Amino acid sequence: MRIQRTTQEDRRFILWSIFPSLFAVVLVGGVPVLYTFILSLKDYQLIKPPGVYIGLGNYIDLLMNNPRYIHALLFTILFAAGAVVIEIVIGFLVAYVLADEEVTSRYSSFIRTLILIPFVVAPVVVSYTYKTLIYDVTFGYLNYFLQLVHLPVFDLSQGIYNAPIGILIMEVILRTPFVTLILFAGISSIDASIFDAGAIDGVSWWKRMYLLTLPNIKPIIVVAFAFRFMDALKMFDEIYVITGGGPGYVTENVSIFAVRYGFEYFRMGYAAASAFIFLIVVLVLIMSFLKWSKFEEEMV
Amino acid sequence: MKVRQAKSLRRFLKYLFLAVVAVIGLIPFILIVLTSIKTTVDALAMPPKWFFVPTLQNYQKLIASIDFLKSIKNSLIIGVGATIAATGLGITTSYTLTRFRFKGDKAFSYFILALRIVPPITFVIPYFLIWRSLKLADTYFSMITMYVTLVLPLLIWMIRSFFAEIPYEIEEAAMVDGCTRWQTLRYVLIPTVIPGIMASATLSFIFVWNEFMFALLNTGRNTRTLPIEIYNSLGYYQLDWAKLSSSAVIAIIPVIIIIALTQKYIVRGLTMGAVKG
Repeated sequence: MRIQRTTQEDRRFILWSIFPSLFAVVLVGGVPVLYTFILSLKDYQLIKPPGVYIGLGNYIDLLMNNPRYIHALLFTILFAAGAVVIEIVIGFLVAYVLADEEVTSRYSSFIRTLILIPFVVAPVVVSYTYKTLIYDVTFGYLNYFLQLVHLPVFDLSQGIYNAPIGILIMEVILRTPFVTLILFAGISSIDASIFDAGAIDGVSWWKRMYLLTLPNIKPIIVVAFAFRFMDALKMFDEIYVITGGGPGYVTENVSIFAVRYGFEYFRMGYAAASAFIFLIVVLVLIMSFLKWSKFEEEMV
Repeated sequence: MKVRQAKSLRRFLKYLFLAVVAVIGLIPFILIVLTSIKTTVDALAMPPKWFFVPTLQNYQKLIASIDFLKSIKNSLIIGVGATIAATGLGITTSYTLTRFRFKGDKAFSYFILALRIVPPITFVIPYFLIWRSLKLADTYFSMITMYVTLVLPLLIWMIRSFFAEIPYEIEEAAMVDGCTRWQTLRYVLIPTVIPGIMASATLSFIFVWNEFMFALLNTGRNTRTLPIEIYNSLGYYQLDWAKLSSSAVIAIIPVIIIIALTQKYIVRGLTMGAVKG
């Protein structure tokens, strides 16, 4: 319940309870975004500040003359969308089996903890493990087993597909558990009588999934998609550690691109512009998805 | 008879499917633990040594490393500091957002939600320059401030979903008994939702403990956190995977303990209250 009419004392309470957060959010969240925008209008070199205003020069150069940036932008979005779709499909299948009445009695807090492990450990740490223990050409376990069965070696630095596929596989393995948990929560909350009715009518396993479960958890799938997509767009640690954006620029996403330009080529203004374009793209993508799915009405 | 056979086969297939998925997901973690108790030479042996004499020498080396211990200390100070500050802010804000209508409440909610969507790369560049010009680069203060902003949206939305479940009558009763609103919040509401608050706080601690990008670009000698220390260590000891694995285990252990304790509320936290779990 929300209180509509407020007394003098309540108004003071509202002010004091909101103010510190508002202050923090505006000062440490809003101001930097504004600053990024101002920077993006400058030719700001870290080694010789303060830089000069060049209007939309950085934007024009990024969008017109820099195929590397367009590639990074497309790679970010396509990679995120692809990864999340795969995660949702696999995550749903696992959640569906897990929520099956024959299996669900074994579901416990222990299993839930196990499922959560890949999702909560530091991405840097796991990425390093994948890079070394699993994907390494000479000493990695993956290539050891591939050679055992006489398959060609999987080398991340070869060709333009290996690196994205390697990162994609890791990302899917690490993030699917999160989707599974959310969808499991959704499936378990469906009224069991729907399934009983289905069972009486002799609906098959696949049909039951397709006709009864999926439509009932559509809102939950939307939530899972929104949150995973948001985070997949922000991906940085995994790529930075495993390939650093390489080979060439194949796996370079916008975050890597901006860090390279800002902190290695010291072109802060240019990097800020690339980040700002990305910010707008992300906000438009997510907001229109939320609007389309009518999700934000529930949230706010 | 046939029906029963079909049923047990189906059950077997379901378990098999789940087992395969679980193994694929957990293999890297098993490998990390195994490698961490091998000697440096054994860790690189090809074909892999499945039977070996376990050793704790990697952990002994780590504990003797001052840089490593310092990075753990830094991670703890920054993680706990940011979590406490953000939780304090999150509790009052989320309560007011659940309970009151006021001018701009919707805009405020949207702004916080937007902050969750903004890619961190947009913050990293200005932060770096701001801290440098304020002479605050590489201090606990700057790190904690950044992380508070990073986790505050999550905390506000998550705690909000817990407050929303408390019936208003409880508050009314407390206020009839003479509590002010602050007292009601302090003595009635917070104790009621304390498990939820603890879960939200631990989740944001994990976020900070694991965070890489901000730390990579903003920490220096004084505030280097554990993920950065691990990242750097591979540069120095290119092929010392045993050492890498043991530091990875140390970084993972606290997170797993925390998760085991609060797993009940994690789904709600990760979806900012949208899914109850």
